[in-house]
Amino acid sequence: MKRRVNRVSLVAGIALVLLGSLLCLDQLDLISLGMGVTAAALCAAAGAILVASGLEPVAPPSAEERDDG
Amino acid sequence: MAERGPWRRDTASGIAGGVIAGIARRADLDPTLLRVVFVVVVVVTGGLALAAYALAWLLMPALDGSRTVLATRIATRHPRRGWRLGAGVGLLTLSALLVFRELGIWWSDALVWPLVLAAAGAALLWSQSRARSQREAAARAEPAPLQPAPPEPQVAGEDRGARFIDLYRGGFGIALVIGAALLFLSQNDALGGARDAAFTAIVAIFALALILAPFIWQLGRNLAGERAERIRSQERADLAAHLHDSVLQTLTLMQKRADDPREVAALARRQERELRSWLAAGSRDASGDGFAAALRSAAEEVEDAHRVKIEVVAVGDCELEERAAAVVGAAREALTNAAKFASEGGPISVYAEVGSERIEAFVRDRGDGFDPDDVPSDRRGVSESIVGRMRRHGGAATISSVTGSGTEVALTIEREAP
Repeated sequence: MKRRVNRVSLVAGIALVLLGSLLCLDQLDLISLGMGVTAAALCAAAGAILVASGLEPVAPPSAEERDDG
Repeated sequence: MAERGPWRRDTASGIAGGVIAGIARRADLDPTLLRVVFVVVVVVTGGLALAAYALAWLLMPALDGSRTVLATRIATRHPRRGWRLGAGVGLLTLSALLVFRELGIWWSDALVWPLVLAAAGAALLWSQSRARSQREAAARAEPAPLQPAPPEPQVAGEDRGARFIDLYRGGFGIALVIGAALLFLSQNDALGGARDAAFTAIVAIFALALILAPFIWQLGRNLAGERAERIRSQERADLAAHLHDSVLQTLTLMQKRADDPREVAALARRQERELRSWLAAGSRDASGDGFAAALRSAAEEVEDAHRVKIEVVAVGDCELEERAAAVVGAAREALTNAAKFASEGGPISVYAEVGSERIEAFVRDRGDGFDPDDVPSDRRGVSESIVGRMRRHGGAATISSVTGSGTEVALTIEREAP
């Protein structure tokens, strides 16, 4: 059976990896993150996850859920 | 006695979430005592027990078999999608503005919050219109029902709920965009002159609303009354049209055939059936296609074909599966025989009962009766269409006939396992 990709998890994972990489580079003094850039990165990560979650198509109800009704 | 099985919340007798009532029920303890113990534990643990209660409330299914609160929240998460989209777009806008600021591409700090609010509001409005168009597309994709049916209360409630969410979300989105515009104008001191005009307009609108409210209220009541009167008038027109199309036509036919009592009786019976089905048309049970409806339909066909009166009483109903159809077929044959040979003795009656395990049907007439052994071997009606048909499907047909007193055909068959 083909496994369905969960787009929200994918976007969240990529966003967290990018954020973690930025923080790592900052810790290694390879780049210097100011407060403005850190806040922007955090907002971008949270925003991307929320937008991906908001655009996720609604799955049709399962048989169990239909039975509940 | 304590109940075994999974731990479940007892929402019916619980005070808050039904967790303690459920535990007391499961462990066969006094719920009041358990509540007192819980309060003590909350105090001793510094509120940690409250968190445990909340966790149990989320994870324990309810006693009525419904899912856990957590599962329900996850399954019904889609109504919140618009909010997530709005918040996400707002955060992305804020992030872009912060990046511009860091890069030195900047105009004014007064832009930040108006832009963020406007972006979130626009996303909220867009998601609302998208959700509505998806719902309309889904509704169009559904096949149209063959017959109009009254809306189910639950569906109507869901529809009202969706409309309320649309209105709420749309109103909130518009408010966000307007708020952003006002904030921007305010931060740029552009509202000074407009403020007085807006205040004057608001006061004037409020005063006008106070003056016009009784008239608007009365107008609304009049419109509702007029609508109700229009519906009643339409119903009266429908009734008049139906009476003209069916009853008056039948009465005219009956006058023309007054010299044939059987024809007149048949016409009257047909009209009675039609009126009954028309009156019962509002009920969903009236348009069934199960065993009882098939039996009535078979009796009506025999009535029309042989101009006899058949009284049908059916208790219970089931789907017209193979065995039930066999009973209907055998009953139709018995009715045809009774209509052909025993209609002079009075009305023919059919009594059918659908039980949980078997279906029984009895066809009785008050004719002269006959001896089944005297039926010639080349006549297949009784032997094949009644007895043989029932036997082939695992049932039985018994014919009891007394000369001069009539005949009863008893049909019995076990129901198919569900």
